[in-house]
Order: sequence, then structure tokens, then C-alpha cells
Amino acid sequence: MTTITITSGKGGTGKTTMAANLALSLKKLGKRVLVVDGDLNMANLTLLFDLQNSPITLEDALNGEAKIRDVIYSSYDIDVVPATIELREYDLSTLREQISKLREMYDFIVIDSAAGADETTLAAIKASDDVILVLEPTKASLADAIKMKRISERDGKRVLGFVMNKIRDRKYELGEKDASIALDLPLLVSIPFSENIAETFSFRQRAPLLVRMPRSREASYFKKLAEKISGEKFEEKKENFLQRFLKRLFKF
Amino acid sequence: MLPEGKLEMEEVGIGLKKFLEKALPGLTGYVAFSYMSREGAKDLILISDKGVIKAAFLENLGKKQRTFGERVFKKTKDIKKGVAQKVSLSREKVGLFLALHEEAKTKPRKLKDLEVLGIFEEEKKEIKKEKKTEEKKPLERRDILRMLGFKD
Ligand SMILES: Nc1ncnc2c1ncn2[C@@H]1O[C@H](COP(=O)(O)OP(=O)(O)OP(=O)(O)O)[C@@H](O)[C@H]1O
Ligand SMILES: [Mg+2]
Repeated sequence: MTTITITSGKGGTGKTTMAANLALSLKKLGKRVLVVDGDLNMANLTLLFDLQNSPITLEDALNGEAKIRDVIYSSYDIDVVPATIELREYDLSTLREQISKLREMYDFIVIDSAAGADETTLAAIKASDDVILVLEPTKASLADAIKMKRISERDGKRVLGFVMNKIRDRKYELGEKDASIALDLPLLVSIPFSENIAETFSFRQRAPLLVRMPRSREASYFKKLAEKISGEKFEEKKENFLQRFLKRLFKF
Repeated sequence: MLPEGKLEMEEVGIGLKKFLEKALPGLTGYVAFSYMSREGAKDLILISDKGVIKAAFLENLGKKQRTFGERVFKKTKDIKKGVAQKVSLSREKVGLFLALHEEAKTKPRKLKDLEVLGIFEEEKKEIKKEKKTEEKKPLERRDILRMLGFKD
């Protein structure tokens, strides 16, 4: 059982997108997965899973007003702990303990964290075993990621590597190689800037990419990361037309 | 170096060389291309100043004038070796050239932008070499950290 926090320092790099789609990919691999909205003040993951109307949320569990098991909801066929959309006080000191209560129930707990390095982010890192950094190809993102790596390692966490997101293949962009050298971390996966991913947060409710387009090229990036993390492979289910035809013909 | 205002196409009639000298004193090089269109032979002339395309224009030249033009640009000393060459142009390229022609009147273009057209074979190679040396220089960890302001 592993708890993984997705963090970046810099805002808007794609942490929430990654947390959601990585969790869904791990689920598709047959794992027992929970995804937690650890960005308590700006609960975007909660919106992504359409759980903004949940009667009780992570804050209730943190404040001792509800059991953590009771704030687990199912959305798009995966377990999610949402946070509240309203502004609320909450006791962060209990986050690690609350999450640890769920350890036996899951193979993977993925925690989405807030941008920056304030107490909410730090608590999300403290609550995890491992950390994944999400970068976009800019200098600022790299500087922030270096700091998050240091913070995580200081807390005794294993930083698994980094993801380079929103790549547009421009000459001026920060390259994965330079980022890898500077961070002294392996590149886990590169994800191009894609309209299909951007569409996720459109105003009308859109399911996460892995739900909407599970066989898309974009989905394959998240699946690849899930394979790396779990050490397991997705079954190659690609059948050609003839195979499908024969299968239907003989009904086997 | 470029004269103000539009280049008058009619002036081509006075002879390509003369026209170019008149329109662009101090010219460092130009390239001319000929291709056949439905209306007959056409020439595209790109005027470059130290590798930067300063102007492009397209002219309908009669057969006589076209050969005259070719003769002229072969003779012109200012032309860099290998730059002037005849190419047969595809429809797409012609379209691109026409757009370029319109744009070049107001906006000087970098040679680089023309790379895709496969025109400036020699310069193209040079640009590619530059790019490669640029890319093939991996930074050291310490250097990157310093660049970002980290002390260690
Ligand atoms: N590869 C991508 N291509 C295009 N758009 C993307 C990509 N990844 C993320 N986005 C978009 O970028 C925006 C920010 O993404 P996301 O909310 O996942 O980032 P974040 O790091 O969680 O942000 P915050 O720091 O605010 O929590 C969203 O609109 C998302 O749809
Ligand atoms: Mg987020």
C-alpha cells in the first residue's frame, strides 16, 4: 500500500489533472484506489469529480466531526475524498493520521496538493509515502519543483520522479533533460499540451480524460505513469478487424 | 537600405538588373526563381540583405525577358555562390511565395522562415549546423541551479 502526493510548487502545472487521471489509470489496472482532494482551500479535484455538493467532506473528518470512512464518495467508479468548496477552518495536524486509517482499504492513495509551500501543501506531503512532481516547461516551474523536492526529502519522503506537462515543443521551453539534471530525478512521463486535456475543466461538467477518452493518445500518458508506479502492464487488448469479426462469428 | 514605398512592378520592364540597382542601391544579393503557371512563365525574385529577405516580388516575364533575367543574375557579382538557383515550384510553394510577396512589402523576413521551402540550400545547412551545436550542449547541474539562484 502506497500513498502518493502530487505536488509542484508552481500553480496550474496540472497536479489536479494528474492526480485524477493517475488514480483512474491505477484503478483500470485493477488496483484498489482512493484519490483525496488535499487542496482544501481550492478544491478543484472535488469539482472535477462533480462532488461539490457532498454533505460532509474531508474538513469534517479533520475536525473530528465525521469519520474519514464516511467522507469517501464514489464518482466515475472510483473512491474520492472531496473537500468543501466553501471557506472553512480545519485542523491540518490530523491529516496524516486520518489518511493512515484508510491504508488497509487501498493499494494506492493519491493525494492532490495545493500550489505553493504553505501548511496545506506541507500537510499533504507529510501524509504521503512518495511524491511525484508535476512541472510545466518553464524556469519558474523548475525552481519551484527543486524546492518541493527538498521539502519532501527533508520530510523523509521518496520523490519518485517528475512529469513534464503542457509541452508545446517550442525552442524556448525548458527541456526534460535539463530538468532531470537539475532535479536529479528521472522523468516519469512527458505530456504535450492538449485540447482534450484542457477541455476537462471547461465550464460544463466534463469527466476526467480517462473517463471521457480512455483509449486516446492522451490517456496513454497517464496509463504509462500508472504502469511505472505499479510495476504492472495494461493488457494489450488491441484486436484487428478480422479478429473481432471471427470472434463475433464464432461467439467465443 | 530599402527605398521607401512600394516597388513598382512596371519598372521590371527597364531590365531586371537596372531595376534592381535603381530600386535597391547597395543590394547584397538576390535570388530569382522561374516557374510555369497557366498564364505562362513567371519569375519570383527575393531580395536579401545579408541573408534577411527584404523584398519579394513576382513578375510575369515574357520568354525573352526571363532569359534576360537569368543572364543578369548569373552575371551579378553580388550574388553569393549557391544562393541563386532555379527550382521548380509546387502549387503550395507558389501560394506561399505569393503570401510572402505581400508580406515582404511591409515586413522583412528572416531567412530561417524560408527554410521549409528548401530554397537556400547552403544557408540552410549553416543554420542547421548552428542549431545542432546549440542543442548539443548539455548544462551541468550546478550551472542550472546557479541560473535559478540556488546557492548549492
Ligand atoms: N497537458 C495539458 N494540456 C492542456 N491543458 C492542460 C494540461 N494539463 C493541465 N491542463 C489544464 O491546465 C489547467 C490547470 O490544470 P490543473 O488544475 O490540473 O493544475 P493544478 O496544478 O492542479 O493547478 P492548481 O495549482 O491551481 O491546483 C486546467 O485548466 C487543465 O485543464
Ligand atoms: Mg489543483
